[in-house]
Amino acid sequence: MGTVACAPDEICFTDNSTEVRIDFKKVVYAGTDSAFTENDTLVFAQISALDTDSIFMQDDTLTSVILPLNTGNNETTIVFDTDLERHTLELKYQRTQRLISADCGPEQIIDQLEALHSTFDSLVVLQPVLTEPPTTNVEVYR
Amino acid sequence: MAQVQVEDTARVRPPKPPKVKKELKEFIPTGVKFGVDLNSFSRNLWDENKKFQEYQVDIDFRHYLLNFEYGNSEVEELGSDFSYQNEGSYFRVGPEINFLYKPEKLHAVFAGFRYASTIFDDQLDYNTVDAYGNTSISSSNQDAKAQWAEMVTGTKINLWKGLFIGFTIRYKFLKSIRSGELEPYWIPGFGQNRQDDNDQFGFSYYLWWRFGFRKREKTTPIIGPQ
Repeated sequence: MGTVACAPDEICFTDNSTEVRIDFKKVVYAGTDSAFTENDTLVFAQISALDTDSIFMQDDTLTSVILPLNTGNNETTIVFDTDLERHTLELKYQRTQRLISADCGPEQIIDQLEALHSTFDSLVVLQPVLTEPPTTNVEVYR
Repeated sequence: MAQVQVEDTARVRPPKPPKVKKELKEFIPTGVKFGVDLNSFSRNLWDENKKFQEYQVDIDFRHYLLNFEYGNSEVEELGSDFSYQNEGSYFRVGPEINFLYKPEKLHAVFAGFRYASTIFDDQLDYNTVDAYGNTSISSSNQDAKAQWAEMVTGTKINLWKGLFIGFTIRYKFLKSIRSGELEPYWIPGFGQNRQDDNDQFGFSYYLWWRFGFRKREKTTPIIGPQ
């Protein structure tokens, strides 16, 4: 008796992500009137999340890093330890929950990313929405 | 010289058809139909996680019909590590034109328009495991709202006395949603809220009973000078 509107085949694809990409940059001065930015390479002893047991990287040399944000919270503080110094980056974001489908299950959408506090010299939030594949969300300068 | 009589020929023009006057009283409603959507009720039989019911009332104004639809739904989706519940009600209102209108017949083949609105609650609970450990997440909307428009077409066939049966095909578009931290999975009256598809088709299969309270009047021709 009758038919209902047909649903398309379920595709468990999403371009939402819960990982933030951070690029390390430095400013190079070429003369008195010009300067440009280039990738900075840092040697990390450890990259971890504050007040958790989560350690993301150990003994690594990086120009950029992709790190998971805490999906149970609206803030994550990331700790960057080198042999000489420690830097922290406190990020705040908005989480929206969504059920993709009964077969694919739920996901989180993270957007409105902003930096609340940082011990780096400066930083720029380029992309406040976390996407898959990841694009640069934050550039930090030391 | 003989004169030739030329008969006058009068060209007789056929009479013009009488002008048909649509009196204002012909637009006064002659009856009202109350119906149920059988498609909604039949889905309740084979999908235990969803409950739907929908009712319709229409009033005729000569070859125009005014429709009111009301429904409510309960939807539940369960997975191995999540649960989603949605409960709400909706209404639709809009006019139709009956292309099959005849005063002595009550059948209709129609096209029309609807404005639709819904208010609903929903909740999503799930567990996630990531670099920070096991996390239980619960998110909900209270009194979330959505509205949309529909273009409709269908039939209403008089089977016997006041009994009617028919269907409506809907094209739903211009959807807008107001919700909180949970993006709704289901919108009562509209269907699944797909991120990549804002428009949807729908189908309803109705059974009505018509209560007539006035006989339909045939249009009154005017006979007079043309």
